[in-house]
Amino acid sequence: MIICEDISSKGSGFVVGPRGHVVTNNHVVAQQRIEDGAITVTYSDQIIVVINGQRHPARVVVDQSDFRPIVYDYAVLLPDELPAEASHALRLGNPDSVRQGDEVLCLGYPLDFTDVVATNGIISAVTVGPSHVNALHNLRSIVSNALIQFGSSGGPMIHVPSGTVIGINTHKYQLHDLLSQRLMTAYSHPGAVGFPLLRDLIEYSVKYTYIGLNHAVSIEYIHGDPLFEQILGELA
Amino acid sequence: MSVTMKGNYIFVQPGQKAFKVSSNYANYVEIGARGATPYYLEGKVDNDEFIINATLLDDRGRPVCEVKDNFPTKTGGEHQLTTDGYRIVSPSGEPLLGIQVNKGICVLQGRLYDGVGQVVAESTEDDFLVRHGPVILGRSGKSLGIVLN
Repeated sequence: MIICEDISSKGSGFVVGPRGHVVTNNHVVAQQRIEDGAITVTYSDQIIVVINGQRHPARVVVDQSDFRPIVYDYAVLLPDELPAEASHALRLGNPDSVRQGDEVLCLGYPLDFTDVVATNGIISAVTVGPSHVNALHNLRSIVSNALIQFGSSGGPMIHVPSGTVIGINTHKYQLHDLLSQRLMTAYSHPGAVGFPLLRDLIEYSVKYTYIGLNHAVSIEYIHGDPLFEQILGELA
Repeated sequence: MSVTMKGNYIFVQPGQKAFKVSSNYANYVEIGARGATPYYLEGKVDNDEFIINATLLDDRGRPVCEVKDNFPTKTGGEHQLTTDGYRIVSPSGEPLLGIQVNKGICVLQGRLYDGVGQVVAESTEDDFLVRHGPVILGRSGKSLGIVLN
């Protein structure tokens, strides 16, 4: 579990490499604001990595002047002390080798759970589309029906057939946002309230209520980071 | 005599990803010539993603920044990430290059200079105008669209 009290953020992560580096989402350890269209990112100064109840202060070791970690929503942390659990580093897989229908396991600390929670599912799709942070850059997401919740961000998506990490659990399908947007539009245009509003409610209720989709950022962006290549080299 | 061409779709169809340059839509734009001019800007669509490579100079013709595959490197000025692209500003505060993607259209902004500080291309209120060549708008294999030397 990763806690950043100064930015009121909580998330998940996983250990990689022999020195106990921890991978998580950038949005877990950084506060993003938009001012005059520009994204400003402030990294937390109080990052705590909690492993088996032990609190390890950690710092961000990604290049903070680089856009990549922001665009692809990943961060690499280094705890001040080497956790004993660092020997339990997860292996990174090859996202190109995954197939639709493969089983996946998502690990993390959703909601107020203090013990790791595992959910499973299958790869529902592999999508390529504009990054949720920056529309210029495309992002490959591994979409699964394994449930995630607030706090799951940054946890690993494990490809069961290979036992390797193929993605970083990043966000769930924002159904409620879409529904809210449609309802707000309907309310702000009185002429539109009525049948379209009812239709929207029925459509979203019936079609999507039981669909939970998790977007995990493909691990390939981690592979492309020079710092991470160094970490993996040490692992080898 | 100058000729203005507007609203053309060059090697791209309406609805496909395109760069908007001088009121035309193209699948490719090259301003300057790599290795032949000290400045350079290339925009292409690769795997359904806009890719920008550039070497940007300031108004005295001095190198300020390089952009490689959408990511600024060797930046002398300031670069800002936006929700739909990014902006690069020279050390003196002048916007050199802005990239803005909206509904599949990539709009260029800012002001590009050549090696002697002359303006090569610049954004106006609602367009990005190319002042002088070499420029290529649109490319399909070995076929070139509009070429300005």
